[in-house]
Amino acid sequence: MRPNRRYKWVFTFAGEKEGLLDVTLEEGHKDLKFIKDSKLCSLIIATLVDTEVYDPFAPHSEIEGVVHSVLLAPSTLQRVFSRVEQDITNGKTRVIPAFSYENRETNEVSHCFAFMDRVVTTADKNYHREEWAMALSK
Amino acid sequence: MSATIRIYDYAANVGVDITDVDSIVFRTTNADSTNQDLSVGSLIIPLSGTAYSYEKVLRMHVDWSVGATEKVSNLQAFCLSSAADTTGVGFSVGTAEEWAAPIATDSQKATLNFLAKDTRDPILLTPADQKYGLGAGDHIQIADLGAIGDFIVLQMDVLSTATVGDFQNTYGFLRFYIRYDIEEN
Repeated sequence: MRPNRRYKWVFTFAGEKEGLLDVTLEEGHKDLKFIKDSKLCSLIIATLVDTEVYDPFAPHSEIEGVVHSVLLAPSTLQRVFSRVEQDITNGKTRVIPAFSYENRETNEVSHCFAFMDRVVTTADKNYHREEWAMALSK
Repeated sequence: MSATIRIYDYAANVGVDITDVDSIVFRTTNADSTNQDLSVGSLIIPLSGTAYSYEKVLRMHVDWSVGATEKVSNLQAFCLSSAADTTGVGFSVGTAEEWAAPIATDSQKATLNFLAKDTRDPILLTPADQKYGLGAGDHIQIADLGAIGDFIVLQMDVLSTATVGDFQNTYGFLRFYIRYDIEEN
């Protein structure tokens, strides 16, 4: 079970040198590892999309199904993951789309967690938000 | 193509899946507390001294579907509670690498205050930098059994100053969470 597959991150990387074009790739794309490890481009936008609406073949300027869009200082994408929290005492599970990134200028590592009504960017890798009703996942 | 974490009760040296039980019940007369009947083996408030429940020994299992391509990491447990005053009642927690039969005397494994192990100070069940999955790769392959991380050992204790009743209705809610990360290979 990975119940939040309805929501997915789409990342936009900007070329660090003149002549390099921006690249937009979705979570799970086979080239994402190569791009995120490249020194030639920086992560500048992370967009959470609803895959029931999102069209992966649309140009970035026309992304549909956007739930959240996060503008970032030029950064290195470190990890894309889902944070799962299971409440054993009442059987509820929520899945929080997340990613970690490092600011290229300050080298600070931050973690971005997406909820229905907001995106939380924090240095606290254990960030927890109590309100179950606001989770994106079912 | 996916993985799910399930919760197993290790009252015996073979785990029993309790993922779908309503609550974790502590008992004094029987180590096996997967039974949800609260009338069986309740903790008795002592006239003096401390009454201990049997240790509750839990472990997480990864339930992989065929062809799973994901990794699990950062397995943690934490507690959230609204109880401001728990006079007379204590919850202790700890971890163990090896299974041992639960005891109903003062646990030498569950020695930390469970109520203090909240989201900012969780119990770490796997090393943070290790990732677990199936097959070869940059992650650690787990056994077919699917058990992952340390055992969690919980114990409840009651003093003579405790208030009669179940914990939730007497002191406030107490929730027990498992937290982990899943990412694609």
